[in-house]
Amino acid sequence: MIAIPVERYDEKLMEQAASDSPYHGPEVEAWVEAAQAGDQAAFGSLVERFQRDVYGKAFSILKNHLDADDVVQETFLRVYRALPGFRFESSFRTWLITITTRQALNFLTRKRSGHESLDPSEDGPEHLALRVEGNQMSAVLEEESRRLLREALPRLPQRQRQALLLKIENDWKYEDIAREMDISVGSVKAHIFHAIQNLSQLVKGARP
Amino acid sequence: MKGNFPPVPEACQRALAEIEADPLRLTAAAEAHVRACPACSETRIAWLALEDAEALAPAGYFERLPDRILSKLPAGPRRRRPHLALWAMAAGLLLAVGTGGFWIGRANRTPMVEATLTPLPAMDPHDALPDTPFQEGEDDYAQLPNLSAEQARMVIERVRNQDDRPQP
Repeated sequence: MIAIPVERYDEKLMEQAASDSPYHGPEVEAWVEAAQAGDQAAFGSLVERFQRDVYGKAFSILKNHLDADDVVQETFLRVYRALPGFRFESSFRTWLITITTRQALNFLTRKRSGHESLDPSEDGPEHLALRVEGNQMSAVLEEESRRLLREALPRLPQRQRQALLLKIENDWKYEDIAREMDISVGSVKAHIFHAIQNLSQLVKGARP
Repeated sequence: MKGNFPPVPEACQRALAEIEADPLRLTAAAEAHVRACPACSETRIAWLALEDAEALAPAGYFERLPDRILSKLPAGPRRRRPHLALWAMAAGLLLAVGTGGFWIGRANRTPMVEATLTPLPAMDPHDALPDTPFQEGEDDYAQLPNLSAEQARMVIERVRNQDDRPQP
């Protein structure tokens, strides 16, 4: 048996995963690039393709339709504004769903504290890792975060890195990752959780 | 290859344990920690984002949502609506054909009267049209040129007699 170097194994796996995913076709990439150039028709196509995922995520956090609808609309508007900063470092869907999750959690926090603003400026310190939206100043900070993440990824234990990449770059379901890695779904989740935790702590530790 | 990650503080470890178990049901202490700790907050968001989630929306919601979103974007080229565009083109074509046909029809139409009546030859109306016939009660003197000399004398005499009669 020929041992494949870890990096090359990851690349091969990612290539295969990308070709299997419904979210990574050239169609989606073309829409994203066109929308980045201001093509609203292309953005409309992205909305149609991903609206169920975005609504599903918002509803799973907020548990009611009206709040979920508010968050869905606000998310897509923010995504449209932030699109020029998207650099294909994760799948578009992962990026979109992360923004949705952030918006929904902000909404939930504000609702619990008495008002429902979706304005992130009211939400305390800006997030440090895995965040790609924002103004020019935070774009500089984001660049630093991305650099740290790129440096940190190879330092993750192999299983954590493999599970995390399959999830955030290719949107595989936990079951599919478990089958690919020949481990249980629970183990996959644990690997991914600890990968995220390690990366977050690393970025936090590296910044003032 | 691996390692060199900073040690995780104890407060973070407690919060992260709760996040891993259920990121939406944190204790008040963990919630407070997450609000103050960007790394734990980000871990929570990333972890929650990776959870698969599906939900049913009210009927028709997803059909309307793209247009609602696009209507709120800054002005720019709109989303393609192939069906509407097709209908608009068809309506425009029908309108153009109908309007064009109407005007072409008007320009080429021959008046009905010309198509059915034979034109009359040109003539002097004094030759063809009959004069007004003699009418009782018209001014008697106006009739004199049309009478013979004898008749004219009788008329003049009658009129004189009428004029000589006493008026009531």
